[in-house]
Amino acid sequence: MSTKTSSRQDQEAREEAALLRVAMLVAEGSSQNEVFEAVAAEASRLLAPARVTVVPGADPANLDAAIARIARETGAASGAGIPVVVSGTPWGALVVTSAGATPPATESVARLADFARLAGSAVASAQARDELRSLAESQVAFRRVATLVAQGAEPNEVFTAVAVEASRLLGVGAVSLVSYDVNAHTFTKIFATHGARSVTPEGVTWPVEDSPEGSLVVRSGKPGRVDDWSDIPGPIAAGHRERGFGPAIAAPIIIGGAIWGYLAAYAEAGEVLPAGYEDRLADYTQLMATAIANVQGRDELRGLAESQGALRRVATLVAQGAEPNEVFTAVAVETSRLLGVGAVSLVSYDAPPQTFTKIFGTHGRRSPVPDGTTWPVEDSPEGSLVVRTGRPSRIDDWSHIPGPTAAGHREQGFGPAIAAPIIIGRAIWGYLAAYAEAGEVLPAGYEDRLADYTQLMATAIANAQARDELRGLAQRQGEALRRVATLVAQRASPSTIFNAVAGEASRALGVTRVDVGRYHSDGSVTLLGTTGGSVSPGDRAFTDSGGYVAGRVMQTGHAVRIDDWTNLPALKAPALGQEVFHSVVGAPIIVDHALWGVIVVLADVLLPGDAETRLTDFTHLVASSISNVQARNDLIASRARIVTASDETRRRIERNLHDGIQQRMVGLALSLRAVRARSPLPEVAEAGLDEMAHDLEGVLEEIRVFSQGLHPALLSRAGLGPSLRELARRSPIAVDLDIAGVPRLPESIEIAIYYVVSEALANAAKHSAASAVSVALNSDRAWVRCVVTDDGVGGASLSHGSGLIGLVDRIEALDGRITLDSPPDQGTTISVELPLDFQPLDEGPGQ
Amino acid sequence: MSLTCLIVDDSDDFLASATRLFSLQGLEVVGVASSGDEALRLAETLRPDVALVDVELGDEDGIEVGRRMRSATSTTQVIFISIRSRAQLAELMAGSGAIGFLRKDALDAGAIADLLVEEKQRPPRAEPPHVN
Repeated sequence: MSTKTSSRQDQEAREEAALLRVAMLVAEGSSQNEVFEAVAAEASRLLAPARVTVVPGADPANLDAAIARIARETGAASGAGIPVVVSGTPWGALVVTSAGATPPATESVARLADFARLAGSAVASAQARDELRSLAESQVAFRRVATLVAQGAEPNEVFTAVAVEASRLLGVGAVSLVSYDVNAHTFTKIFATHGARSVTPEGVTWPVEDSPEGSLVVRSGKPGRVDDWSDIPGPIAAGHRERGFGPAIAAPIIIGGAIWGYLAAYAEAGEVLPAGYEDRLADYTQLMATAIANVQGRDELRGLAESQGALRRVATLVAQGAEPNEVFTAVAVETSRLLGVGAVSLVSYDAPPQTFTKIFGTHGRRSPVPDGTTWPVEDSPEGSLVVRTGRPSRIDDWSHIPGPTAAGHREQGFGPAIAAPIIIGRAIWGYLAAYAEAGEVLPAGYEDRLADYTQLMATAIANAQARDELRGLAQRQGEALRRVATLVAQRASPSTIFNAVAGEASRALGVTRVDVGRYHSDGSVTLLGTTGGSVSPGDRAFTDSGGYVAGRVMQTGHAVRIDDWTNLPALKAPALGQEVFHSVVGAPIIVDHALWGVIVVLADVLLPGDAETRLTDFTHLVASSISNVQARNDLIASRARIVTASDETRRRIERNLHDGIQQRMVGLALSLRAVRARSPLPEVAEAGLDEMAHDLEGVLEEIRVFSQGLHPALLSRAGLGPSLRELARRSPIAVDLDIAGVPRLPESIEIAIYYVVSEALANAAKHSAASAVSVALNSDRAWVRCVVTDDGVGGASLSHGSGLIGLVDRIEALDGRITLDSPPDQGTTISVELPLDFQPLDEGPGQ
Repeated sequence: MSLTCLIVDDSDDFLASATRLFSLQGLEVVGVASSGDEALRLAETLRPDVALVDVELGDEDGIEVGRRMRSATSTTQVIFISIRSRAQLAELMAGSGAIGFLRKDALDAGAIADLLVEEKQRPPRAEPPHVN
């Protein structure tokens, strides 16, 4: 029983450590492959001898196929799988295979779920990084081209650069730049990186339908791909095959809303162009379109090149893992540089409460609203315009605009303003605004330039946020877990632990009031911990709304969220009148598949839409702490029961010996003496009686030694003081005993210490060649400590040959620690620490 | 003149076999007791030369009984007896005022007499000097 609990506890600890290692890899931005290797290695180690493999592309609807394939490849006899999902879409699977004929237990497969989730986040994070890198790379490519244009290079030189950069960007050798004549419905080859290998030489014109990739692009106006050229008719397809080309992608170059031409990349036969490459090419051509369009209009281009430079600086910051604040600052500063306007604000927007929050302003104290301020949307005329229309806006005349922000604007001497939305994932994330000085003019079209720029910045901001959230989550959860685990290890009281859990949840979710409750079998719930002042365990101090939500969570077993309290008949109006909470969210704590308790978050504002999810994440963390603590407590309790039961048995045997056999043998000895006293007896009889008496004495002595070893009977009568003095007196080595002031202790603890000292003294006498031993015993309210030190030869070990090894179990069963320090020639020190205030985690009714 | 003795033990069997032995060895058992209170009462009334007191008197602490007996009477000496060995008990008996210890299986009138003689020959314990 003990080993079973112990292995489960070990297992959970190892699993948690493995998950944390993988989570840190993900958070550190390790490559997908590194993460997959770690997932496979960590999971395989946990489920050994079964093996875990990461299978990208496995169809979740047909996991059996993937399992069969992996089983075949690894020579396994059976297997099972669990899908890996990336941002809501199936991505692949984790497959666990084993050599035996029985498939891996459902239980072990279920334990893979956390690893599958981590593999999913690794893919999502790597994809985000890839996008960013590709964006940054195309920016670099664009800048080279833009620089050429700005330096006044010939159009041909620019076109060459466009194709060469595309080839470099995609890692594909053959790239063609082709122009389109809408009237003649023909294509003309402008430049190809593959020179003489190209099917159509530069300058050649051909009908649109002869070029399958080109006609695809022109017809749809979108990027396209042709993977299989084998059945395509016409001379160009034939030439393509003859020259050994394989799959092709093409993307339109759109200038002024019309298709100007296309850019195409051709892989070699047998190569593959990964899915999504055509989109990358399209992103690039979109940038290049501006360059091409502006071969004539260099002035406009310079502006864009500048904005690309600004973006590149920001993108570099993001790629280097800068903090979001640093990125936001850079965004505002670059905007100010780009537009030549001193005052630029970056403002975030929260849709549900309809508020803005100032993230950063370049104009510092001149800003009417300091950084970090939140205000209603309607107070900000430029911002509310942007939010209402989703488009860039401008306000040239502030003189008649009401409200404090407009007044502050005028007072600070600002003039015209432009603002553009920052759109992330189709939603307005915030806006960027630039404020000219009073009397200055912001030229027409400046708001569009700002909009172009914010569009580019949106990607950088999204990336900075995503990465920060991922890293933050892993870090916060890791730290929170560590802090709670530390409290548990320090044997903090349950109320301290659960108050800490509430505190961690409040920190993680950014709310002030969090309650942790425990459900009982009678349907009641008690408050274990809270951020709302000190709560002693067992208090039913839930707020009315918190208690209501806790009840709903118990009924449903799921997270519950209530934002609108007006139509809930269950709560009476007076109670609501006293409580100021708006969003109240509760999530179940599920330990060992059973509903254990609840965490309730009470916010006086409307919480964001993902609050339930984030709270649920947190309850998983709490559940794992609780289940650890419970497993540990169960283990300690069960070991303590075993030790106590064995002590009890030994005591009974010792008592029975003492009252039974020993007593009767004493009677026998006395009878012998009585017979012997009736002298004179025949000499033979006297000699026989003496011999019997002698034998009897020997047997009694043996029983005495045996029963003394069974149980230190006098310990419970006299306590540790006399018993240890007794041991000291019997020791052949001089013992310095320091036990002053130690009161009577619980019997199991006295017995443990007695045995430790007894064994330590016996060892010292046998092996240490010491000249002196000291025994020091002291205690306070929480702990009793005993240290036995000798000045002998050292080299003692707990592992073998020592009677001390038997004591390790006894000490650990009491949740204590025993350490042995015995370097060669430097004496031996044995230290024991035992807790006196062991408290179970669970308190209150229903246990 | 023979020595008189009180035996204090919670086992009737032991009391019987010890009494029989001592009567054969010429030690007069003037009383037996199986509890502390009874032992103290008998010691007070019978004034035996020696009381043999079992260290473990059921749930009672025999050493404490011996200690009280020594402080109540100056004429009765106390010898502790036990199934256990002297080494196990020495620390508990220290300072109790008893003149000695005998293992139960080694009980012997001669040994008891020797302990009483030894005690008589021991130089008197130092008393605080009377100054007035």
